[in-house]
Amino acid sequence: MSLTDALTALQALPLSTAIAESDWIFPTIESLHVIAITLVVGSIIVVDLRLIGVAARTRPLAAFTAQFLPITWCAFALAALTGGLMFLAKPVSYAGNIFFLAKLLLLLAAGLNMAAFHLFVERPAHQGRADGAARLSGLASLTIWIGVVALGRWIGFTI
Amino acid sequence: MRRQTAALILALSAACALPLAAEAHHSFAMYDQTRTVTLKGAIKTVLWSNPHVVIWLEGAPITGGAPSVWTIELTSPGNLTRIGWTRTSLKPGDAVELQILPLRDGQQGGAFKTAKLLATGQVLDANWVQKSQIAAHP
Amino acid sequence: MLNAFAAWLLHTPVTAFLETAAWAVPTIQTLHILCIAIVFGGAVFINLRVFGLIERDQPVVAVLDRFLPPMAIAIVVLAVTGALLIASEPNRAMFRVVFWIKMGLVLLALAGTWTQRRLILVGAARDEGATTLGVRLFAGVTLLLWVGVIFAGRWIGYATGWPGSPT
Repeated sequence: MSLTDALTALQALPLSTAIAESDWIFPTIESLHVIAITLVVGSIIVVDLRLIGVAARTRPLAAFTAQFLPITWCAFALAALTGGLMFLAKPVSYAGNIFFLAKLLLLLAAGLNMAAFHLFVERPAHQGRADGAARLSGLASLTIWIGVVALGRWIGFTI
Repeated sequence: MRRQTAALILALSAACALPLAAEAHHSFAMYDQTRTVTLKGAIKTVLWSNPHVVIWLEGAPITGGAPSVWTIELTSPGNLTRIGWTRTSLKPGDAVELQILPLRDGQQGGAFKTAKLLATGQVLDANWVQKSQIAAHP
Repeated sequence: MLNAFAAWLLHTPVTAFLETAAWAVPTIQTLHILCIAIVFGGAVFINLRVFGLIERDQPVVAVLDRFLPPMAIAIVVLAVTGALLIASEPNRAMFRVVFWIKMGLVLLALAGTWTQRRLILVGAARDEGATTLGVRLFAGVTLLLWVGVIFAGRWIGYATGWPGSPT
């Protein structure tokens, strides 16, 4: 079964048809997606501004990562769920949409950046020893997530 | 501190510039609302899905031109059913004349205005305000 | 009267620019969303502190004073980008009831967001860290108003215009 076959089968599911055609289901999922992504971006902005060093430099980094990154994760889970549901409305179309594919790639980049942060930067940064790396990590994160939002908008601009 | 802020602004600008290379043909602003183009041909595909129903037409403007595929955008399925459409009001293979608001950038596509089914003479519009008398397409 | 205003808008240079520069509307929309992240994110973080779920080591008013200023700037940018988005397709949003519902909800949410500071200060005189039930209810309702704004905003695209609307 080719990818196109699989996606076409996905599109034919009753759930997919309901999302594709219903008057209120799609806008509801969209609204929840907006809420989720604004919380992902909002919490990331708080942490990144501290990482970059433009805000709250007197407070320890750990205070921010410990309190705000859990919000990021929960919001991201909701974003992924609502995104997946919207994908069901026209899977074949989205799979061929270059902005959708680019957005997925950027999300991967965001994940890699976050992994690199946790593995190599976080502990030294908590001890105040990795200012340069922390700044880079924060800047990269902000750039990537703004790109994700922008690409998400452009998905809606292509058929 | 100032260098950091400058770097931040640069990064943000770069991120916003990301999709500049693309073509946008959504948001009604992209359609030329001052003129109408009439296309004649056959419906190739109908994508009856949120957020926008899309029709692909194999045809050409009645003023002339070689047949090709045109991409026409409509409103949401909910808005259409509310004025009497069904998902089969227009079907692949239907011979139609479509009136569209053309894309400003000259690409082959536009926003749907009306469709005339050549077999029956029935006219479908997407006047989203008044209820149209549209019988279900047999 | 609204029809006349929309018709006038359709012929202004701003609208012409927004219609011809392909990147303009998506960029403005992206900025609109980023500012929603600041306002809605801020509202959620304030609520989380009010309910004692995060930053318990910070006085409630300190948390508010950290988030309210960027939220204020973001609201101004939202108003400007919102106006530009209306200008880009004048015959659409203003002729839907849900758009005016959204505007009403915005005003109420703004009033709630900035009033809760005074409420919290009253409580802070007694105890910097905790909040009363009244404050929590107020914060919670204000947050729900912002949620309503987001839903109403999305629904504009799915609503039909009222009788006499141009599209």
